[in-house]
Amino acid sequence: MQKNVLAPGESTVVELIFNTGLTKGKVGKSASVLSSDSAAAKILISFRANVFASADTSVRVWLNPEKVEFDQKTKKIRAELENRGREEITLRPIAGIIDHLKLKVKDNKIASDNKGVLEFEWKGDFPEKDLKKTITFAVEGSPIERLSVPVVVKGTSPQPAPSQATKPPQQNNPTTVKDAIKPVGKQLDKPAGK
Amino acid sequence: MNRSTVSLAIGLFTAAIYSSVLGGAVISVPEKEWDFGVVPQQSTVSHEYWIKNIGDDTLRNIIVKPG
Repeated sequence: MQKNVLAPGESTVVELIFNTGLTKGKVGKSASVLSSDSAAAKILISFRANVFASADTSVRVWLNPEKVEFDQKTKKIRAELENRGREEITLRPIAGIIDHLKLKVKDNKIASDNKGVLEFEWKGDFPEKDLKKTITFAVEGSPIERLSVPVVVKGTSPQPAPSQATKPPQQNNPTTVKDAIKPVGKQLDKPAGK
Repeated sequence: MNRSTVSLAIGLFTAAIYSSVLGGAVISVPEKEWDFGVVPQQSTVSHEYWIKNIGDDTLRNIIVKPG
């Protein structure tokens, strides 16, 4: 059951989830937080993203593989970050640090037309359901400024029926608001800021 | 204006001041916007937004609606 009450001093989190689908280019989405605070009964929270296809070589910084997916057989993933721009870039994780996920940025400074290596390692147990998170990096020195990497830890429970899995990719880009009202005091992956 | 009307007006004024000083429940969302930057197609990204009650009364009816 969703918790929709906060005592004085209590905190909670709301998670906005964005399925990029076949979207291309810049996109922005928002959600409203309603409450009993009459002075701010409706607060807008929002995000923006710049969606690219992997075949699009115009994007100046790209990670290969572009998504990180752990399963029982794959607990370590090595990814290469390609700097296709003319400037040296510096990579710095700014949000989405996940419990049990070890991230090693081998070369946080990447020269033009060079590649840096990122190593992801899942060190925890596997959850019952798929765990989906996002790590966002600041890309200093590049016009793109930020890059987000979807991280999936495959769950141990059976996956959706094949009929769902074979559905064609969604043409729209639904934004879902997930109930993520979590217990106060639990250390969550708090964003480190913009 | 009779005495009871004046008393009522003073009472309402006092209640308004009292309420504004005490504050009641106050919602705080420190980070309202997030920029994912570049993200790949056919993937799912997510971000968490913190909500805090910085007032001195219980914050109720917290509902999140898309759009």
